[in-house]
Amino acid sequence: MFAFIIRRFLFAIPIALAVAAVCFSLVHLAPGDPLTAVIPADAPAEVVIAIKEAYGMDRPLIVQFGSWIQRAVQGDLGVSVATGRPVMGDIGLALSNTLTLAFASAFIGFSGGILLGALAAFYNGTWVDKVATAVAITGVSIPHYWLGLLLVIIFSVQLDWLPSMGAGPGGSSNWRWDWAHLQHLVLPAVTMCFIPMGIVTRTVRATVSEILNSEFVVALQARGLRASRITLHVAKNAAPTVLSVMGLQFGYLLGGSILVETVFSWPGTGYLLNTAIFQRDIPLLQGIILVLAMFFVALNLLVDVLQTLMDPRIKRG
Amino acid sequence: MNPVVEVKNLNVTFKGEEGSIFAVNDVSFDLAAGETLALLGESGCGKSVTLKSLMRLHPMHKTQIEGQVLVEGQDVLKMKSKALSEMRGKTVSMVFQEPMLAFDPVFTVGDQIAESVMRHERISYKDARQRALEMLDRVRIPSAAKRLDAYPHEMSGGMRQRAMIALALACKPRVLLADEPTTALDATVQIQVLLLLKELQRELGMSMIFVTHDVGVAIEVADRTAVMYAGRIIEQGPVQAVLSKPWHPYTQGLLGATVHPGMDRNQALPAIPGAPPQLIRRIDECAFAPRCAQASSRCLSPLPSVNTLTPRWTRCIHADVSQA
Repeated sequence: MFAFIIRRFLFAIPIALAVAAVCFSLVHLAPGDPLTAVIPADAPAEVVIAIKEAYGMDRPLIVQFGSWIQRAVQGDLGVSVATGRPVMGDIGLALSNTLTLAFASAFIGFSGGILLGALAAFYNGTWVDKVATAVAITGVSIPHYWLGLLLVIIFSVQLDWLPSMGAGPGGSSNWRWDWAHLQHLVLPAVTMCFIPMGIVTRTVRATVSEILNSEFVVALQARGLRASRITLHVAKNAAPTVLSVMGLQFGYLLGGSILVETVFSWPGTGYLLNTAIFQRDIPLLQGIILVLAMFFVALNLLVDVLQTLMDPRIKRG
Repeated sequence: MNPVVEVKNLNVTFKGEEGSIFAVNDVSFDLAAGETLALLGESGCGKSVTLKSLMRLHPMHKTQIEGQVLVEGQDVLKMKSKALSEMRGKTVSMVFQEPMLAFDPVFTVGDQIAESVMRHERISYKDARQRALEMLDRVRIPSAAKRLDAYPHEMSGGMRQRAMIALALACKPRVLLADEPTTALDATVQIQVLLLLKELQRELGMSMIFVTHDVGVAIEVADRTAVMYAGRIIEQGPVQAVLSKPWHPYTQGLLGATVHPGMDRNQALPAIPGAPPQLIRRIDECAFAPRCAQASSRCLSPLPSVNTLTPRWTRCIHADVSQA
């Protein structure tokens, strides 16, 4: 088992490298020079060359990529063009806020999705199933930025129950686990939970109803096992499939929250990414994309390992 | 002595969106302690449905069951769900046709046996595992201790069916229901499993209902046989008598279509013309009449009832019963 994890981890390295290469080159593929934003339009040619040299932009792309990777591995993602601060520090802070939001959304969305999906499968074809399916379809169909605005209008503007901006009182961007901060978390977390909830509901419903129709469930009943025990069997059979979907959804929650974070001014990576794009802050942009992509790779690795641990039919060879 | 199982006027109907299927129609039989009954018939004749009724294993909301199914005097069809689940696996136990599908694929075989034992007897996990080991030994699975921690997919077909038998017998049931337990196995393994079942039945003194479409298997294991066609038992009696001198034209046709010693190798087996009827209505006349060479106009009116308590009977009104 240990050897399997090591090997799976080694497989992740080329994937991570490829992802990094894509991140790096995307910025260079986009129209416009990365330095246009910092250099005044009427700057003399020698100044432009000097700045290019200072940022290392005069060297071949492959060399730039090499040194970028080399520094990135050591935790140095360069200095923000806009603020002059090290990119890593800003990303670290934003990432912890994004993770808080993602965990909260995932918790609501996954537990709701598992519950709805299981109910729909157990009561297949009845009104319970129809309600759960309707909720799931609505959840995945509603654009979350629109839902976010709607919730803000209802719960912040009209009812004035919950704050609509930032991660804490007075626009604080340092998350703390207290009531004042939690209030700020509610609306963005609820907004984001609907898509994973819908997708998890559909997955759980399909997987569990397929398992319930298989002969071994009848065989378990024929052994006289209690309903709780049979549910355990069904859950263990459904777990690998559901887990892999949840892993992917968690990845999307990390990377896909740009719009929601912007709507709620949530000081996370999505919000930071948005800022970086508008300020053409290349080092920051590359850094965020790289960090998010690495999280995605790590998450997939984790899901793979968990899946193998849970399903004896997956060969570990 | 009272029979262990008594089935009286059992009717099973499946309610579907496109109408009902009358799968089992007025089936009655009983089973004495230690006796083996073979339910013989082709696919779709209602033999598996009849078998599942003894544990009420049909999908609840789609099935309508009428009649009486008495197991040790208790009516299974009237049991509360708690009593039902206590009876399942303890008093009556089942061996399925395809063990690959009947085992949970993500639990080890040993744990599945132990789980079943722990459900019905108040013993610890450790003792239940010990029982599982004894059972695997008893069904002659080689190096049983190692197989305890094997998953179903890590075993061969024959070994899986042995493990399934070990699971079914772990709580020493009074009645074993076997739903074509050898059909999915190849011929050499088949006979080993059959002999094993017979031997364990003798040791444990249990009764057995054996569903099969294989005449040879029925002769091998059963004391009595009930031949089913289109949801009804059409002939019943001691297995030797029924299969050596069948009364019902369907049983005669079934035997004619079976390989037997002394037949001409180059000759094709005679098949019964036509196909069994669709069970979309309750058939009160002889369901076999449209395919029967001996059928007369009387066969198309509702059949008279027969005394199912006699040792041997048939539903055919033309049968020459005096030959017996």
